[in-house]
Amino acid sequence: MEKITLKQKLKQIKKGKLATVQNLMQFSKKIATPKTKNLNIFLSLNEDAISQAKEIDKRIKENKAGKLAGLCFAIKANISAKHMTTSCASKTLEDYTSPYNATVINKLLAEDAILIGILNMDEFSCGASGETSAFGPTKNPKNLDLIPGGSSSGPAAAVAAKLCDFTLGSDTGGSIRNPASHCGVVGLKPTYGAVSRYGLIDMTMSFDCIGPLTHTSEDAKLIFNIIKGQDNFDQTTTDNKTSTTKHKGIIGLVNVKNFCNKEIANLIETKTKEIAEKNNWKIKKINLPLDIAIQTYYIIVYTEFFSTTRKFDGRRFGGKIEEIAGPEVIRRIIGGSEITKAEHEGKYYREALKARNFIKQQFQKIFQEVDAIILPTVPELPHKIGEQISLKQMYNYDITTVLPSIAGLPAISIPVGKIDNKDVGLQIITPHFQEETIFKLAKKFE
Amino acid sequence: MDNKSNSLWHKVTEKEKQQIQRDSKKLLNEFASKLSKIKAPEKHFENETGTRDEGNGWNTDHEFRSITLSNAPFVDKDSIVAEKGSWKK
Repeated sequence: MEKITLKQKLKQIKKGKLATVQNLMQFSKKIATPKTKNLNIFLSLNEDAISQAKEIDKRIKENKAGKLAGLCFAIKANISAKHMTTSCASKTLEDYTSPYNATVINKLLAEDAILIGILNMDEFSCGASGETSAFGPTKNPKNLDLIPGGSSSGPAAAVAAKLCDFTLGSDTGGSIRNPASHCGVVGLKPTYGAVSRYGLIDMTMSFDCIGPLTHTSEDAKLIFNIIKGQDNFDQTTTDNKTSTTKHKGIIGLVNVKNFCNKEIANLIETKTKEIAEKNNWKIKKINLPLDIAIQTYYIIVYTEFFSTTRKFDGRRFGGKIEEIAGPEVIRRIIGGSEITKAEHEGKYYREALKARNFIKQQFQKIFQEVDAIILPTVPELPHKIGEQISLKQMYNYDITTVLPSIAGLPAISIPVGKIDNKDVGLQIITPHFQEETIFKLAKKFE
Repeated sequence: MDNKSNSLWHKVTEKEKQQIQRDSKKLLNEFASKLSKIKAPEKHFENETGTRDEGNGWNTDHEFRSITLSNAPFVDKDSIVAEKGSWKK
């Protein structure tokens, strides 16, 4: 299959050069091959996809089809799609069937996109490597020995392996951007509140965002513009009407010394300088509070995750999470339980909320001087699947992605090069609801 | 905590759970100690406009009901039996 943008593909479909059924069958055949099955990307497939594709082809002929008519997408296994198994890659929910669609699914189906399947992920989004799935790790399509990143491992790998047109993942502290970086694709974490979380099985509700993974930033923009918007089922959503602020022509390049692999830092700096020169941008070196990023993030994550998992008690659906889940999920539940027990002293969660305010203030100050912030998406190159690493090393993978999550800011990861034949992603962060600026800047790097 | 291990999924034993509990406490104390040095004001959000109009919601359809019941481990006619420990009797 040749690499074309989604807009180009939609034109082909509209002109009748490519039927929806044909597009679907191309992907289905590829998904069914032993080579693809070995990647462990899909957890289940939509059995009604062909009949739905035929209906869409009819609507296209009648000129009644939606904006995404004929495109095939797949979703992370924590986004609810009616009649499909939403397992969160956990044996806790392996038999759980969603009784309704998430808002994002309704929006995509209303535009005649076809859901082709459900994708593997880290169990309950707890992980940054794609290894913690109870149904086995996802493999990186670019290098089968390496992790694809996580927790949206399947969504990133599915795009990289060209098994669908686009995917949806969820990002709590980097779960879209991290695997996008390792798999060499584009991943957008929208502003918190820009996209409805209704129907998302949450990990940390004050951080979680649903976003697209695609081949280009233009494709990400197309999907983001369909799924965004206020939703009465998610009180945190809003239709933001603020216009893009006047550009200063200044990019903030984060000093990542002591927090990042030197080769990655050099690649990001070189690439940023190259693009800045071409576009007459000024570069300002800035500091972010990276030294408290992981501490703030994980205390809030443990607390909220413990709270959200209380519903998995095996009484109304699924099994009892503490008896079934793997080690990383158990760690976060036990950790969250410890925080809750000791919180009367205000020692953990309260301190983390104070630090969260401090981080937000730092971003506000920085955005008075720069249009956008650039830094590496992941501070290290991907390790081998099954490799022994410490918990702190694993948590440090998140150090460059958690800060925008803590502040609710939008951020994108785009592929900018390779080191030792491993993909490296560059991250762009802007003020709230300035996704348009992100797309404009990202395009300059592609 | 600083011991190396792989991140692959496996069933957690009771002994491992106890180790996880000890490690989690240590890790969280380390994290909290670092954050206690941050000087930042606490902020609170007050909703001055009152409650938000959520519209009329949506009516659950027949399928929603049947799928929800089929997800439940114990069902009595059209109700889910969810009393704590009732399935152990």
